Amino acid sequence: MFMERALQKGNFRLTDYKIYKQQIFQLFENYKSLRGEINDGIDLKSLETRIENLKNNQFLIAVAGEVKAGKSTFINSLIKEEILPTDVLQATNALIEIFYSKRPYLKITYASGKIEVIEEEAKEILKEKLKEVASIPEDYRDIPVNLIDLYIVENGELMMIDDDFIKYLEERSGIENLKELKYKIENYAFSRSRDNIPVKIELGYPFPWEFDEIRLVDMPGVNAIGGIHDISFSFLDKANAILFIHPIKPVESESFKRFIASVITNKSKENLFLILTHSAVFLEERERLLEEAKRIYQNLISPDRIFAVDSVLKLIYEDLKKGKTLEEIKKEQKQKRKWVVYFKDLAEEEKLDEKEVFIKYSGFEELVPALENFLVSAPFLELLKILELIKEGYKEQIAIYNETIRLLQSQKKDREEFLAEIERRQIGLKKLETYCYFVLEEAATVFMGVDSPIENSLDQLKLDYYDKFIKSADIEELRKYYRDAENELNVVVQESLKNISKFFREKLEQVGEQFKEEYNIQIPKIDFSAIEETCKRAVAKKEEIIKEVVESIVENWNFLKPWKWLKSSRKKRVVIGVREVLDSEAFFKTLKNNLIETFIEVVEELRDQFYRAFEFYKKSIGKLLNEKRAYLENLKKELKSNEMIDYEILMLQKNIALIEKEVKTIEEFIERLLQ
Amino acid sequence: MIETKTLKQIEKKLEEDISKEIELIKNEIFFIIDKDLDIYFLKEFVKQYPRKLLKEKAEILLDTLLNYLMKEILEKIKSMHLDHQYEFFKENLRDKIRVKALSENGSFKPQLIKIKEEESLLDKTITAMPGIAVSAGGIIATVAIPETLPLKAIPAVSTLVGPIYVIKKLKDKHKRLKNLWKKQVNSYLKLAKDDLKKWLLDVEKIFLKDWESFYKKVSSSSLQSAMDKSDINYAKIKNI
Repeated sequence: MFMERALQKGNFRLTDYKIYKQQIFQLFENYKSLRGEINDGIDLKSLETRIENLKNNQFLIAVAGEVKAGKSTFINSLIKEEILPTDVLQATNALIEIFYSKRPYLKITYASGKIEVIEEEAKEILKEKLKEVASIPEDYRDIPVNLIDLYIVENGELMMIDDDFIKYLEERSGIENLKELKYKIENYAFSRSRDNIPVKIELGYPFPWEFDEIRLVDMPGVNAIGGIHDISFSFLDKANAILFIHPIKPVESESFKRFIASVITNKSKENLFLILTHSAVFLEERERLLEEAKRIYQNLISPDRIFAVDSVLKLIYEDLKKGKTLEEIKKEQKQKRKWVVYFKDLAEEEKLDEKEVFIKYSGFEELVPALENFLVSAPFLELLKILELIKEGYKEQIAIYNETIRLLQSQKKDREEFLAEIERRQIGLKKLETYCYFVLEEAATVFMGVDSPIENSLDQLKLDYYDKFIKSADIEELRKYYRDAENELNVVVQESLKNISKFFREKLEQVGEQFKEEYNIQIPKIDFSAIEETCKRAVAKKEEIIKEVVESIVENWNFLKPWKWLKSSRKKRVVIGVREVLDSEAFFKTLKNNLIETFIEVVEELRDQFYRAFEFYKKSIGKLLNEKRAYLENLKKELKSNEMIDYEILMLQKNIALIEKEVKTIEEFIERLLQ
Repeated sequence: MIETKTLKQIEKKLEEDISKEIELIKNEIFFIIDKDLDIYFLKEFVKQYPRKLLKEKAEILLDTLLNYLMKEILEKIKSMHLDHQYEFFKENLRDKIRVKALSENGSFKPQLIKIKEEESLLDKTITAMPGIAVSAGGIIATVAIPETLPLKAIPAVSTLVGPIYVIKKLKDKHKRLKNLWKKQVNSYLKLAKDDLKKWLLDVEKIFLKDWESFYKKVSSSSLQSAMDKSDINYAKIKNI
């Protein structure tokens, strides 16, 4: 219940989250030591994994947008450090990951596997290196350098540039008359090898930004020649938030629409923000344009996820915060000059101080809290769920201790009566076990067989996606559908697992009170959330579609050899690198066929995993009942002296007092979180 | 024991389920065949997938049958002494039967589908009706092409009959081939349906035999008279 309240609260702050997280780590340590060897029904291993995940948790923000939309300036203004080169054209294949690190370093991974690391260097040196590796040299702006790089990454060095290759570049890039630039292509291509083409750039820097758990990914421009590549897709799928950067004017963006329609998955749409940049340039029209954007995109993205910002104003604000004067800023950078002059006047007009005017009109005051709230809301709930689990575990521990105390007291009072009490409880347990078997049988009829919800959903899903695969117009769209299908499959299976948990929980809760009253036995607590988590992990299947795309030339080569279309023959290694046979249409067709085959296998595998998960539930329930039975047997065997009983009762009461104190702390903590 | 009338009802329901599942397989296969996909891919698909999907559905139908049978048995179990109930569940009849039915010896093994490969239709030869007028490069010719003209010979005759004709004929061949495959899949599934039914009825027999021996054991036990129907509210369990 409190979790729903927390959801409604919606003003989560990253700084608060960090503090609360540390406190929870301490509470978990206390829980572990108080729990000792006792089985309170909480799956300790699963809880430990959740705590570990919290410790290593990072928020991934993907920043996408067209080339020259102002992505780099936006990132600089967000991290409060002008480290990404902004006056260059970014190379498509190099994707930059930026994260907090106490010591500055730049790590570049090249296609050959070679790694270059620059450590402890000044900001300017890192910036210069970034400019060198991640941007397109001025001289080569008119040739599709990204496509050439991509070709070399896939096929190795180019030994000669012939007409066929130029034709291939023209077809893929849409640039005409490349023949006239043959000398440029040669110059560029012969200077490139897998050894100097970066595939991954990681930048760690001690940003003055408080979000040190955030990892930003500067994505290649969506309109860049060569398009979005596989590595980018994997980041988009994993991202906690995707910020699409687009200039505020013209507001209508084809690239944004296409990005939504055929690049990101339906699941990732939930994480999407639209950031309209350069708002200071159109200051008078800012509000109107923002409203227009909200209207135009209302069917694609929620209006509260659209923001108008100006990154340069934010950078000036950061400069002022660092102690620079407006005069100094004006002198240092031409880019900021006109804004310094204009907004200085505006500050006087609106009677604002210098800093206030820049941050106010930058739009970041609205964006950052909204982004923070969005990023932290899910992990915040995870904190609450963990607290709730620990609390439940403690309550179970108290119940177990009280039950033991009662048994010990009855042993002290009258041994005969004590043995009779144990036997009564054993009968009760037998009834409970029988009841559980009935419940399990009933669950089988609900969740297995032709009428089960999972079967009905899977059959329909398969046909829907076959149709989408076959109708898709290009590889990007096909890939998006496949990722969508995977996500939807996971949702179907996970929903079913959730329903199984709910089913068992409700059934056991119903019978719990009856058993407690009649047989004085506590129904064993079963950590269904842990079972659910374990099953989810076992079931989740990620089919790396990337591989098939990388093997494009192999696939096309197959196309020319019909006998290679047989799956068994395709498994053989075939010669790679015959350029003349590049036939994107044939490749696309092959990919479609392969996807249908793969999809059938994935569905089958998932179904299998689901049934195994169901078995896991059965075993977990059986295990707890067996433990309970063994516990009663042991009590019967171990008759104790009165002194021993008194001592044990005293220790148990002491434990209960300690646990109750801890439960109170947790309850207060939860209250504080929800205030 | 389960009454004959009830068994008949179960078998009837099961038969309906089998038909429904076979229909689903057919729809899935036909859905793919009807699409404009590569003919070589489709050939492989038709060869492999009906069998694969049948195996998958067989397992689901097995669970369905066990659901029906267990439901009947549970009704009887509920009126038994707690010890017998307990004993029955310890027997784990459902799992035992399931394991047996899915074991190497007992599992359902669908036959391989034999589809007419008709290589001639795929890539070697092209057949044609004599006396068709086709236009090609402004030349109108009336030709009679032998029924099994090798594909290699097409360039030679294409100047006469024109490439449009060849493409059109190839498309027609694919259409004919697809219809042929559909027919073959249909008859394959018809046979498979009978095999599936037979397999499931065999499973049912084993189940009933095991249940019978348990029931006999329980009936002869002295506990039968001392009924302890326990205080669990079964009606409540059933209704949820």
